[in-house]
Amino acid sequence: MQKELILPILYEMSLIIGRARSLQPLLTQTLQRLLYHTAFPVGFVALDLPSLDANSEEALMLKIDNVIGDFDLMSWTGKAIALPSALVFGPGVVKTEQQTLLAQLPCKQQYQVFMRLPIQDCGVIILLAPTHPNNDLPFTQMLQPVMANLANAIKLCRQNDAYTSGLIQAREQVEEHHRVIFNATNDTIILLSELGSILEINQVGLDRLGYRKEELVGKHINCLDTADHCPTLFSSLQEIRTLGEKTFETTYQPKSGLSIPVEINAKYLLLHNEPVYLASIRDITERLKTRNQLEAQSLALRHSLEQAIGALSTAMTHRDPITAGHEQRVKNLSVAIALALGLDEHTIEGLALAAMVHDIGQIQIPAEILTRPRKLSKEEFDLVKMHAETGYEILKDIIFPWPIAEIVLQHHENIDGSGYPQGLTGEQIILSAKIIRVADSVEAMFSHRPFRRKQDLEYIMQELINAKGTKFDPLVTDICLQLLRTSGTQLFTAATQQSS
Amino acid sequence: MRIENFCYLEKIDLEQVSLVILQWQKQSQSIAIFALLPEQERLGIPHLQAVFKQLDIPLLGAVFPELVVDSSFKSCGIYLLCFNATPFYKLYPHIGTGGADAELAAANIADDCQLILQTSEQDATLFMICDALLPNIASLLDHLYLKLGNRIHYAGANAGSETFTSIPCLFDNQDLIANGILIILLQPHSGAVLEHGYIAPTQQLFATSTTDNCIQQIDWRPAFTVYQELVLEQFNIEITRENFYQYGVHYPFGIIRANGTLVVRIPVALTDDDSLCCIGEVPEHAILTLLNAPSVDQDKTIQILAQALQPIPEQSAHEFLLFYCAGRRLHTGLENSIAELQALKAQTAATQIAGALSLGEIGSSASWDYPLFQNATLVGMRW
Repeated sequence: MQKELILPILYEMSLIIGRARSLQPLLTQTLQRLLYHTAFPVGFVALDLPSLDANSEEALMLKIDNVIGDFDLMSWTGKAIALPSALVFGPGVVKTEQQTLLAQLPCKQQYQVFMRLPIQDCGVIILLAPTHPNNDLPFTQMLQPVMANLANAIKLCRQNDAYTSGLIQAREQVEEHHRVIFNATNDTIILLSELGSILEINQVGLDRLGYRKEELVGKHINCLDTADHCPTLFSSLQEIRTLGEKTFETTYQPKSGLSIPVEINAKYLLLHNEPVYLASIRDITERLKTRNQLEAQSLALRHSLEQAIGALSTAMTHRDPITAGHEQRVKNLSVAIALALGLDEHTIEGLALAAMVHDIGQIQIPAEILTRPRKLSKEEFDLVKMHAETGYEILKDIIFPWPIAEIVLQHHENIDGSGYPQGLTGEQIILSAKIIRVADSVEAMFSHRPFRRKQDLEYIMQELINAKGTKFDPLVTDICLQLLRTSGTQLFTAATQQSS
Repeated sequence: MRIENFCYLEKIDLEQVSLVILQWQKQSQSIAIFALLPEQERLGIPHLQAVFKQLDIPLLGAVFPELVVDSSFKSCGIYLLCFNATPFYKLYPHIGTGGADAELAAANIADDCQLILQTSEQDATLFMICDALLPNIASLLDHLYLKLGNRIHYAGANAGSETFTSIPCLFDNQDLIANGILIILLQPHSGAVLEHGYIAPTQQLFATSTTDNCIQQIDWRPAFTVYQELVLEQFNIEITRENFYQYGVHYPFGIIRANGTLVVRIPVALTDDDSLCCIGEVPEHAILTLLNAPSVDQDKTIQILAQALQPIPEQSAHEFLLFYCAGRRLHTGLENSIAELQALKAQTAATQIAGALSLGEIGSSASWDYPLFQNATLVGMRW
């Protein structure tokens, strides 16, 4: 071997060393290249040697950081073994006929030759061979600059390993943190790919659905859909992508086969620049039970209320047989007007109840005044006018889902402020009260009274036209006129059928 | 009377194959057969597999450019080699071409071998036959050595077509695969010896840019341009893209190790960007030299092999397996190759030499040496 080739070999070794970023690959690649070039079949590295006299007879327990070539020694990698001081301490050297010294190594293979390459203050590389490899180059001298380079690389790689290990540890902590939260939540959380494949699912979800993780990850989300035609997460993906988020109720099918009602809140987001869907799935079995119970209770309560109101209305009828059925007819006409106005079902329901009790305040008015067959005196009329406030007082403490007491209070208000008891105008008056105001007047004109005869339709319609915009709301008046023209006296029964 | 373990048949006559197997089976019930086939006989493999399936005898084998039968090369027939006890063997298909693929394949092979080795303290040889078109065999060998070290000896040869076109070249009773490796774990076994005898010429070059088995630049210039200039200057031969394969094998590269020995790399393909692709990896910044036939010390080669393959006193028949690099035969010439085989047979007093022309070899010159993937060598091992 020509000595001028030493520099290229050193250059190649330096390149190998310079490329390494982590300690173990650095040691492995360096050892591999040393074995390749020197033809020694076995080598090991021991780093962090204590300071000791090279001539000591002692064997020291030293950690072996990397081994190549000897199968027995390889099993000691990362562990401490007793190494003779005369082997590891001292300058770079090749020594032959060292079988006694090398017999102390924990391996079956018998070695006679070793090459020691100190790595400055970092440790040592020992190469071993059963017989002297055929070379005459002064390796220990020529590799000195390589070993100096290696010492620096070891320090850099250790720093890099520590830094990387810190990053990995920090990342693992964050991942652990996320994992704990991910699994501690009481909802099923599923991460889906853009095409609907399950990427991740938390432990709660697995427990609820009765699957093992490997049974679901990679599967399509529609494997959890029930056979019915409920909206599914998969069928909603397009909408979720457009809106960014969506919450809806559906059912899901666990492994057991019994479907469970769920509420899904799904978001479309980017994870590592990949579009994904994050779905939080809440089991709403208990919520639905409670909801159904509440609805049943509410329905029962409403029935009780209606019965109570019906009873009050009947009591009124008994006090004044002349106006018997007045509340029912006002109710029917009010509902007909509300339907024509396009009011919602809930408002119409409240309007119907209010119409049934709008004259409840008359309970305080002596029956003989109500049934007196002549025009009332001013004092008597003032007494009658109090029924609106009295009705309000009776009803105000009963909790309705509608402003029943307020409607009753306002049902004699005129939009021009000439009504009673508060003299409210226009928008101050609740629409339901305006409707009852018109229906109450129309029904009264349609009915016999002790002091006058029943009016005919033409008269009533003219009265409505006259009072439109003063007493009565113009829109409600117009609707009522239209209804009277088309249905006439049939109106009351037809409206009753519609509203029921 | 002792029946020899090797049997060369001049053609694949399935009836004759069956007869030979039945003879061997009389000696041992747990035999397995290693079959070597020359490239031109490869269509017979499915028929062979059918026979062995019927006989319920393990078959493993490979396809090589030609066979080595004692001191001659044969392009027809079949060599049947008998294991008296079935060794552990396995086909590893679909080996990838990158460094990470080599690491993965080595890990799989090492894991399988360790399962077998942990039950025995005996010396063992891992004999590997690789598809010659795998570009990462040297890396795979390095990774295997990291895992198994000196627990085993390493030996092997590359199979395939001499034209370096892909053919399914490795087989067992069931499968016939390309891009794979066939391993046979021989126990007890004392390894193989590999030698090429090339002497490093004085002129050196540097492979300044390489990727796996391709040299992109030599001395910071396009590899093929430098190669053309060198061959013209040293041997007065003008190499072109057209005659590249014809001459490439005659002028292989030697990678110089610091101990003065050479790892031979035969360039077998030329890429569009003038890179030279060799059989086996070339480390970046490796020191190269251009080799030529007169630089082979054939006497020394045979001497080293013969010494390592001397008969063992207790062995009545002295048979060994030999793989002779196809590139070496092209390089040194047919006559010289035959002379090498004759000298080897004479010096070893072998009763029979069975083998094949190979397309790359694995081994080391001395027992327990660092194993290397080589080209242009002879690798021999006792049976």
